Amino acid sequence: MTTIAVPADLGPVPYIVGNVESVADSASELLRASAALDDLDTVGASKSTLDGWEGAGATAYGEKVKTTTKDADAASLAVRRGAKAVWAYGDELERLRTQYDNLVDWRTKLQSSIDTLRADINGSTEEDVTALSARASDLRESASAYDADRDELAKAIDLNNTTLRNALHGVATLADARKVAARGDGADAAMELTGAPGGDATPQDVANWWAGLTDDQRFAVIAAYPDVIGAADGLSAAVRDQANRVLLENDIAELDLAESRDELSPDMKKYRDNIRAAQKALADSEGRNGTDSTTLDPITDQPLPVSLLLYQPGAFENDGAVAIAIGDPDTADNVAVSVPGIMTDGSSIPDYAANARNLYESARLSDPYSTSATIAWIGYNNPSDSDIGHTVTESAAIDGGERLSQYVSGLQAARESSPSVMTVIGHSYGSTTAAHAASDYGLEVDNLVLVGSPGAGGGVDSAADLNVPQVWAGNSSRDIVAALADDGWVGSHTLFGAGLGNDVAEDDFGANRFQAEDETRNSTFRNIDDHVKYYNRGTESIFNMGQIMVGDYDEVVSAEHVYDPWWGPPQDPEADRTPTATNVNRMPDQ
Amino acid sequence: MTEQRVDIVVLQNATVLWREQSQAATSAASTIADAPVSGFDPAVRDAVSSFLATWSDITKQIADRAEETAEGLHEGWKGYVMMDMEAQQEFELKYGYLS
Repeated sequence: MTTIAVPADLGPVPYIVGNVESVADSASELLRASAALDDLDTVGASKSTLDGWEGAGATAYGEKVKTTTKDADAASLAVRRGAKAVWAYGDELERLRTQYDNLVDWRTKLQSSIDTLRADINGSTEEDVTALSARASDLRESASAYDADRDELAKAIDLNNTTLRNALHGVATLADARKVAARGDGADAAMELTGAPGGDATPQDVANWWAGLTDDQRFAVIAAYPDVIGAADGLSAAVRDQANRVLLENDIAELDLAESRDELSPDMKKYRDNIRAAQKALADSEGRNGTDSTTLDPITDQPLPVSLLLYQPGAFENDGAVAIAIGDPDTADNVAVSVPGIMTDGSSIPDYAANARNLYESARLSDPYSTSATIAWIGYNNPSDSDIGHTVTESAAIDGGERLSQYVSGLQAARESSPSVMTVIGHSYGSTTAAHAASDYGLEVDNLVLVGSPGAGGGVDSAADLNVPQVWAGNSSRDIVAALADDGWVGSHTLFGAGLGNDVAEDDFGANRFQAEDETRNSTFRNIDDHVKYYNRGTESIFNMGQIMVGDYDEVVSAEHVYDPWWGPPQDPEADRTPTATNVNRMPDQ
Repeated sequence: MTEQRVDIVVLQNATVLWREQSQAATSAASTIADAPVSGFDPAVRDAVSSFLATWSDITKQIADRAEETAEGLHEGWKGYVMMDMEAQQEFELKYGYLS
């Protein structure tokens, strides 16, 4: 009789208790709290003496502030250390969870093989012994390897728990935290390195600076300088999003508390609408405010990645600056930045984020085989409310053009490779701003799209002056703002700084004009309603902009140019064309 | 006696600033206290809970001190205003300008 050593039944895989998402939430909360404490530390350090107050009272105030500030600094570092430890714990938990799932699969298969071997042995004859012994040998080897991996997983679970406990224990008291603080803040040191944002560094400098930081330094600067990191052109969407959400969530929490106590500060009253608008735009875009099909990718039906790429509710004298991306601008094949026009401020972002979702949908339907990202960028001081008088001049567009160009350079610098197609779309006064970015500041794009455009600036005679590969114009024949541009040989160009340049839809200008009428247009007259339809779903304009941003230029439906005959005023052939019927369900290209 | 100089608008502005900081720190204390612990392995939950409780308390104390600073500034502002008014009254009383 021959004995075959069958492996014993396999032990269970060590169970992993924990929820990665919940742990990540916990880490995010701690990061936010750390940032708020760091802010108090910064304010306290800069306000321990007050210009205009001297005497015994001022001295007493200064002493109290210094103590509070010192403790806020220590607490900030302790909570940050906790956040980092919890984050690392969650990352490891995720890795262990994958390892666990793999081991469970392996165990199931291996145990099945062992059970089968036992059954086969029971029904075997002497002739089968050699083959069965070989199978048993293989299984013993596999079972041994399984046991080793199982032990390794158990140890790794223990180590992850121990590491977290030790990290938290290291800052268990304020005294511990003060010792940590005495060694200095790694964030401050990182922000003093060459290329750090906030100074004269270019987007590429900033990208290089970030690449040179350690994980700890990166975490530290997000916690301590979320305002700087969130606004830093050259950093990835993921990093900026994390920093800006820290700022936004803290603002929301502070605003909620102040409103519940009826203690809104004057500043907070001014930019409250901007905070709530950013909150709403994110919730809308992430599908948290009800059913909206544009929150799902039209091809995969999956929720869209959404990033808060800029969040400065107090910028531009509380007009606010904000940008939201739909899709991933760090990796997408096609990226488009939409630049708004007059009467737009931070509180407008829900509408512009909706436009970005519409454009994303159009781009995906235009080319389902490439990836796209669209960005609603309210990042310059465009004329609104009290400063509306600036509209007739180009000063805001010139300043905005510089900012836009830097922003787009930042998108490029944050990527490992340039996108296949980079597009900037300027609407209304935003088209003038985008044109200035191109003509004055070297805008790095493949396509410049001007819609509802009152002109590309007084210094631009034709599309060739914009120095980009493709210039597109999408002016509706019923759009009253598009009629503000200079036309042809009777045009006055800019007069004492007023007026925004030549008609970009005119033949002499030389842009590729595409169809941008809408079937709901006014039957006869130019009007303001037809100025704000370019991003509506199912319109000619959104269809063509989607084709442009994915680089399907052959699919763009061109329109006849405006021309300016000697015998009369400019003529727009589009005025008499029947617009294409609205179709929100255009099928993707096959 | 130390030299004294005060621009009371500075005190008003600083009061608002510290009140905002107090609100921010109070929110931060709640954020820490409310951070979820259910996602952690039971083996570390106590450690996490203890950490959160400790730093929530300390952060709340910092928030309270910021509020005290704001209150102190406000009281100081009131004191300077009252002192100025009293000085005016003393002056006018002494020289008989009050009716």
